[in-house]
Amino acid sequence: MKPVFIIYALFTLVLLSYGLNQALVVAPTEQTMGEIQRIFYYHVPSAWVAFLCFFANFGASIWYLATKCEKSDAVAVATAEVGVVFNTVVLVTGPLWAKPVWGIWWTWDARLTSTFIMWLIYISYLLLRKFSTANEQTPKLAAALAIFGFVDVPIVYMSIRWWRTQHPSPVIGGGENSGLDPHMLHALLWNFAAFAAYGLLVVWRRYQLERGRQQLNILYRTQGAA
Amino acid sequence: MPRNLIIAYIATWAIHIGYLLIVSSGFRKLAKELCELRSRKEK
Repeated sequence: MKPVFIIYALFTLVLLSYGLNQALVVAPTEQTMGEIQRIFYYHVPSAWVAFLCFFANFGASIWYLATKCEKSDAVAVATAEVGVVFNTVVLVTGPLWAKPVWGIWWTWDARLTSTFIMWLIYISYLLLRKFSTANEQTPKLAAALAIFGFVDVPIVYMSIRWWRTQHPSPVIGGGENSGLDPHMLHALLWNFAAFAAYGLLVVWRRYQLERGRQQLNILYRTQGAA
Repeated sequence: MPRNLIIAYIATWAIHIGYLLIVSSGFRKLAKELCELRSRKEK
């Protein structure tokens, strides 16, 4: 591991610790929901980082189809996997908040359903990459799936603006009646910074692994040809 | 502190640590395959 990677990992660890302290200790307790609202400081940043990962996957997939650059394919794989991890966190923490607040674990409203569909789309992307037997065509097929699959991402983001949902309305950029206590906003933004830094760290590591695999495949091919 | 809050925070880190373990096992597998390939080449 390069020293710059270790320094960045330590920096991320400091950010995550600070974010945890903000979320559990510093941020005020919400009056209606009480302590359970603190799930919000992990749930919302995880959703934002998942969006960023899927957006990067979309860009890398377009770039791969345009240039056939293997590095962009490695970025696409790394961002899709890390996006699925963060999306899984969103789908796990959401119901844990919903049960005490709504009285139910899950409901098929527009936000929850579109988020679940987004998770399924990127799981299918990863399954395609893992089990496709069309070896040289796999990155192309995956890139096409990623581009079409990305259509769901803005739908997830806009769902609480377009439709009346059980899911709470947006607290940032949600119009006149939206807003957040400044201390809560501070905790939310620090946790977003921490999870974005962590997401980048994991994408970086996963990208290195994928590049290694690509180079190994080239070695296998050249050895097979020789 | 509510039970679900504790579960949510622990579950978040369990998911992330689980994924980190998968990635590190990928590196180990890659190193093993590289070693095998090199030893096959030397033969």
